[in-house]
Amino acid sequence: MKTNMIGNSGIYTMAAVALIAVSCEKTEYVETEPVLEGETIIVFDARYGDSDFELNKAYDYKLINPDGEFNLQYKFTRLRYWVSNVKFIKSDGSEVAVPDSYYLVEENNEIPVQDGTHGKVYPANKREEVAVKGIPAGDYTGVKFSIGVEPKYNDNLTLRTGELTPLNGMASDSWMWFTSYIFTSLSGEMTWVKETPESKTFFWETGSNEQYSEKTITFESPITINSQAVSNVELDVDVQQLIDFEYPWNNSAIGATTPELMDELTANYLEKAIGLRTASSTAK
Amino acid sequence: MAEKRNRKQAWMYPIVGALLAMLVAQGCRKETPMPEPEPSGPEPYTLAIPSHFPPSEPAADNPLTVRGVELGRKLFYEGLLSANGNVSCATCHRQELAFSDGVAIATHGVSGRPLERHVPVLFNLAWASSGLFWDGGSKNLESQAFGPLTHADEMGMDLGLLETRLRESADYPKLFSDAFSDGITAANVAKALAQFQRTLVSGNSRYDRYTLDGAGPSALNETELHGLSLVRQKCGGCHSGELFTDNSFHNNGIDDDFSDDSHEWIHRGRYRITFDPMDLGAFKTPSLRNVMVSAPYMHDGRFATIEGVLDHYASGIKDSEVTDRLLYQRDGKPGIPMSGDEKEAIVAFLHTLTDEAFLGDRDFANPNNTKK
Ligand code: HEC
Ligand code: HEC
Repeated sequence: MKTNMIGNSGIYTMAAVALIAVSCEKTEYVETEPVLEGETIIVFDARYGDSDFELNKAYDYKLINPDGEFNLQYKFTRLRYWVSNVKFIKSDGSEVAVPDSYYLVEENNEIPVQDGTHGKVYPANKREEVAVKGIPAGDYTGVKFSIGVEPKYNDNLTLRTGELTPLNGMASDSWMWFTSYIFTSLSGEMTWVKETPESKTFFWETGSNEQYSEKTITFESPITINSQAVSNVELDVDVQQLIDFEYPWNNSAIGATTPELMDELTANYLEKAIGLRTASSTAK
Repeated sequence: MAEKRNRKQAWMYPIVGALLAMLVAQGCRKETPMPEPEPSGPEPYTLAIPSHFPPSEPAADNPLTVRGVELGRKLFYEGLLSANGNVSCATCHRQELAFSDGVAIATHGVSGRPLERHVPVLFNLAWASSGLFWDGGSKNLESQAFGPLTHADEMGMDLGLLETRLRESADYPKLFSDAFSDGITAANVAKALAQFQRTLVSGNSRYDRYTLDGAGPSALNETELHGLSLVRQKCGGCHSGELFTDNSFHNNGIDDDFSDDSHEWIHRGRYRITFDPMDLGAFKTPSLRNVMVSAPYMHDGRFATIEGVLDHYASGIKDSEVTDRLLYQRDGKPGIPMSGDEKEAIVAFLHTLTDEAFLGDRDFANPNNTKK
């Protein structure tokens, strides 16, 4: 119901303006109750279990699988993923979709462009805050977003919206034959800690239309978003959960040729790693 | 439901707004002068579709315009699009060979390393509705262009550098702003290339003139007509219709072992896109048009001659679970039996599918070499 109110009042406002304009009176039109859009910040705060997440730092990982117990160590060089199609949920369950909401969340070392052939790099970057703008004023009980890019844009790299671009290494490169976006990319080095330790690099990526999926976050109590309120939504992204595989050592490359592992990796993002820390709003 | 409704309302604002603007303009003409008439958009390009061809679905997000097609043509022949400045799309896709390259596996990309598959012909792409590449992995020409542009063994280009180079060139800034409102972007490079490639229509071979006019100078002789009916009957299950392709994917019995999982499954055909075991070794049916100028054949260029292809269909079909059932005889034996005469008739007919007008069409040639 509320959704309708907002939508309709917008149209009524315009209709009012229209009448005034058409009749050419010199009345000054004053809006009684401005219904203004608000914005909120969503933070995707990467963590490793209980610690802060940092690149290039060794994290211990105890692997228990049917073959036994193993001591692994992970060092990460890259965590990048597309967040898209943000929708806010109203208390009546209806949803407000934010147009053009496509964001790249990333924490990465320098990445050589085209394997370094041009002597160029994508700069190291850390970006975990996303400012979502143009949200209709209201009280919201939760938020939904997707990891990845829906088929319309995934299938056509020339369509522009939000931050989507094939220029930042999150398209094509390792998915040449799909000519589409890489949805998530996590890589680094893993070490098997034993008498003579062994190390190898790992590249764990997801992509392709089948992997496009949505996450719902429910707030503990509703937050208010409008032009008069400051709000933010803090999410935990637990990288220790992202790497939760039964056989990580033998699967150091996950991508289009390992669809089942991509399914698992997508599920690790949506079902295990990403969760709510806090969501709050206060008057400005 | 609710979400849909919201979207709809969001859409309505500009519409309501536009209506308002009109009302305002009409109601208060004296105070608010009529807005300047909208500049009448870029000039559309009308694709000439042969009357016996099926309709082609226009690309809604990238309509053909005269300027866009012209720019795409220039870009298709442009070496600046590659890392070393020497490789253009046309290096591997040569017009006189129906935009293929005449070798089994190309080594003429920027790295000089062999590619993993044979270069396909490029024509009638406005009908290629089931994806591009031999396995159909790329969904449309717009996205496809990013493949060769960035592939280390094709053009090896960094898209940022591509934009810079075009911006710094003498001609391109104007050509792009004439064709696209947002000027030079990597996306517009791909859009322009896609537009040009959609204009590559081949439908003016002797066979076509015969089909459209019947008797006359183009009439097919008896052998050729025999060949036509043999092709319709024996090959038409896949190389079907006026396009001589069903734009679909089949395993045509050239391999029966798909254990090679190297190169990210490149040898497994359509399977690497669908993960459907029945798609192992299935590739997109190529058209039979212009096939007499586009040897060698198949996704890896393994057959050097058309006779080699016909021998394969007659006696070389490998029997496996995934071999297309159309390649079996009634008694269950693999192969499409063809006598020597029948093979000759088929080859005679295939020659009538060579579209000389297309292969020599100046509108598709390098604009920097030919007078328009
Ligand atoms: C170095 C050689 C090379 C260059 C340069 C090259 N291509 Fe290709 N092209 C190929 C090969 C090989 C394939 C087949 C790839 C596959 O199917 O896996 C192909 C496939 C294609 C296809 C798919 C056709 C179909 O029917 O599925 C299109 C379209 C295409 N290229 C357009 C272009 C454009 C546009 C450019 C320039 C931006 C270009 N190519 C540059 C080698 C090349
Ligand atoms: C079951 C479907 C099917 C039938 C029937 C069939 N083909 Fe094919 N044909 C294909 C497919 C699929 C390919 C591509 C295979 C590949 O690249 O590995 C192909 C490739 C070819 C090529 C190579 C074209 C190129 O550009 O490389 C020729 C020539 C050809 N077929 C001719 C014929 C003839 C002649 C017949 C009838 C005697 C025939 N085909 C019957 C599916 C079929």
